[in-house]
Amino acid sequence: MKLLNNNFTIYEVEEVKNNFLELLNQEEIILDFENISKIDMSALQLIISFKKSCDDLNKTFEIVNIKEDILNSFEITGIAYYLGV
Amino acid sequence: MDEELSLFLEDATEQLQIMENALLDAKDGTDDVEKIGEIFRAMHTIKGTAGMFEFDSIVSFTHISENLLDDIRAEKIKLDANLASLFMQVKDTTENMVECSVKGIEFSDELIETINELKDKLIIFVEEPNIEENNQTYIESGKEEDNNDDDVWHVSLRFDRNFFNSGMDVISIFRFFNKLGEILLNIPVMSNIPNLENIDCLTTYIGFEIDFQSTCTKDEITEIFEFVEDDVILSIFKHSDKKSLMELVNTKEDDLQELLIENGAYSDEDFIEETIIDEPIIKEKTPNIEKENLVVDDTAVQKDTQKKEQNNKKSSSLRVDSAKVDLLINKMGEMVMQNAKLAQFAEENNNDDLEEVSSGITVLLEEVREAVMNIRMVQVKDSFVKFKRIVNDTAKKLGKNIDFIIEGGETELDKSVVEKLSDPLVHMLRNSIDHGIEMPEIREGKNKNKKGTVYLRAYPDSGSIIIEIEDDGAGINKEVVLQKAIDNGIVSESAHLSDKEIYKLIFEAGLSTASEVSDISGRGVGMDVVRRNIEALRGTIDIDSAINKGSKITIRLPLTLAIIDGFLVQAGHTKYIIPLDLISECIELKQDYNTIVKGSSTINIRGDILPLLDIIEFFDEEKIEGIRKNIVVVRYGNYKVGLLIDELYGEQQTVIKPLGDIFENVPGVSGGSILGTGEVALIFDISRLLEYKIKQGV
Repeated sequence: MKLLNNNFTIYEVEEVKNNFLELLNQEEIILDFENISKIDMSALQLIISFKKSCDDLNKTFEIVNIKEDILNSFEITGIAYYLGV
Repeated sequence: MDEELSLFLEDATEQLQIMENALLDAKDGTDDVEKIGEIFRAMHTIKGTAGMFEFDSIVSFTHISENLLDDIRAEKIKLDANLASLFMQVKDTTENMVECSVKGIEFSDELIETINELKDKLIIFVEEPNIEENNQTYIESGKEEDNNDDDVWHVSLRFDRNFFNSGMDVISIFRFFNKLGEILLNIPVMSNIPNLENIDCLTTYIGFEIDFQSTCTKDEITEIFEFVEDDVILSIFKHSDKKSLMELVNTKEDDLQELLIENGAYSDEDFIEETIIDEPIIKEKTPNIEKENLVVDDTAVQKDTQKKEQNNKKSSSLRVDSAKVDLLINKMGEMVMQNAKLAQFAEENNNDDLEEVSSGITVLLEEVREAVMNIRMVQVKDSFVKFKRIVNDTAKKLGKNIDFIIEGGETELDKSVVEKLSDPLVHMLRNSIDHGIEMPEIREGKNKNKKGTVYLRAYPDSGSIIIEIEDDGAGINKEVVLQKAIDNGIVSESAHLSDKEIYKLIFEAGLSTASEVSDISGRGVGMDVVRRNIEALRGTIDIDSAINKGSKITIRLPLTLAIIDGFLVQAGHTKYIIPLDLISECIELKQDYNTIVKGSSTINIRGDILPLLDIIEFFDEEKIEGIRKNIVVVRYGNYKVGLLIDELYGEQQTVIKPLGDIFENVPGVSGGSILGTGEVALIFDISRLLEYKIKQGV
């Protein structure tokens, strides 16, 4: 799924969560972050939660096309390792 | 403006004001450690917070001033008239820089020139005296490098569930960490995060365990969290401090130890309890270090005293576990009770000396009580300011334009009340913005200012605190509310309700007036929960509205929850306590007032016709014939009612004790209290009583 909005923050999490829930039916989950240029902790937390669900259901989980800045946020919070990016 | 930025601006302005005041006092030069400290702290704080927003030019500018001020504090340089006026320029320039940065305006050429000029001047001062110090600094820093492990801190970070509401993003906090030092390792604690099906996106579950290398002190690291200190649970200790580490793993998540080992923050051996062996080693080592340090000793001692002074300053405000204050209040209550017994005993035995002692204690107890209650009082401002962001964000999301005005922020209220008030207020504010304020185009059509206004007010009023939320929006549509209530079976079709009663229906369960539930006010607590929350605080809620003019919600809250000044009365064989501040007068029931006819129950006091509530009848007390009857006139908000009782005893400090679940639903009684004689007196819940009387349709 490609996230369309440029921001992925507390204002978007609720909506994105619903999108994520729908994705859980798919076998392979790939999140395209090409558009994302702003992210905050609530979004990171949601991604972790999503990954947890995927692990529970034995689905592959991948995030692609991550911008430098966003990757930096993953790294500084130590979450990059868990997400495998 | 962004909430965080406006907080920064507020804070910086305040600091600069303090700095200016101190500089004005010191304009002819000074040795006053306190004044210098104030100036230093202003620069230091602004540097720190500016760093968090990545205003690098402010950081580098204030950094130079800070260094110079540090030297002044260490008495290496004297703050003379020249320097004072230089710092005044620094202050003005910083002010300009802050203003431009916050507004996102680029610095003007003129400003840049001033900055560089001042920098040059400051550096001259910093460098000159530093030459002789240089050797020592090198020794010190050299040592620190050898002892690398000592610079590593372990920071354990957990958040309040509602942390996201604070508006501060953790990621920018981490970025700031990297400015002060280096995050060697950041381990997210994710065990509390539910999976996707169960997560509430707005709740903060995550935590972090950080290994942070920096020469900062613990206080400096704590300061990073200054803006959010109420919303984080911090534990900071040296990485080598095994004792604190054990404490941490013992109090936090079960798998924390595993997590720390797995991620390489610590190894297995670190968790073996070795405190007993540890301590002597440290003790042995210290004398050696002291000997080595002899050369630097002098400055070290100086720095030490400085630190102490700084600490003294800081201790002017103290954070205490609220349970400790609660205990104090509880014990106070018992003392009040015992003293009442003593007074009674003295009176019964006609012992004047004892009576005097007791009345002395009473005065003291009253003073202590006030002091203790004061500890719990906090200004509502801090809590209210947080709403600014919520209001702004909600408005932005809905495409509405709103002025949010806070009035009476300095009003004080019991801290526990303030905390419990936060959720209901947020909900009501959101409601006002979502349903109250119209879209800008519609407002224009109604000849209103495009920008809506929402007021949040707090002020004291006869022993209560009033909190008002007022908007100039569309108002509540009575017909729609009433129709919905009828449709949902909350009121019957034949009921005749006053406007106020109809408005109050929005606080009933199962009544949402929004024709479509938006994601802003549709989720979370409903207005019925709001009402219940307020009632749990012994408060009342009232609402007033006019179509196209707006609505006003008025919340009336008691000042405190634990002890009240009461007035003891008797009706039948039971003693009752009326909160003293609600009483407007006590009078004997005479025939001239008495327009009572049984059934209609009203009295005429100096031409005012007031409803009269016969307590004996209301609580079905046994009637005692042939005694003098009295009336206590109580006032609550805009209502006045006379209570008909038998005996008046007088003022009484009352410790409220809950009556327990069985009596929870007894109308008109909010609690009990034990009198000096051991008797139980019931405390009137005046608001409920009045409500009952009004419902009766006087």
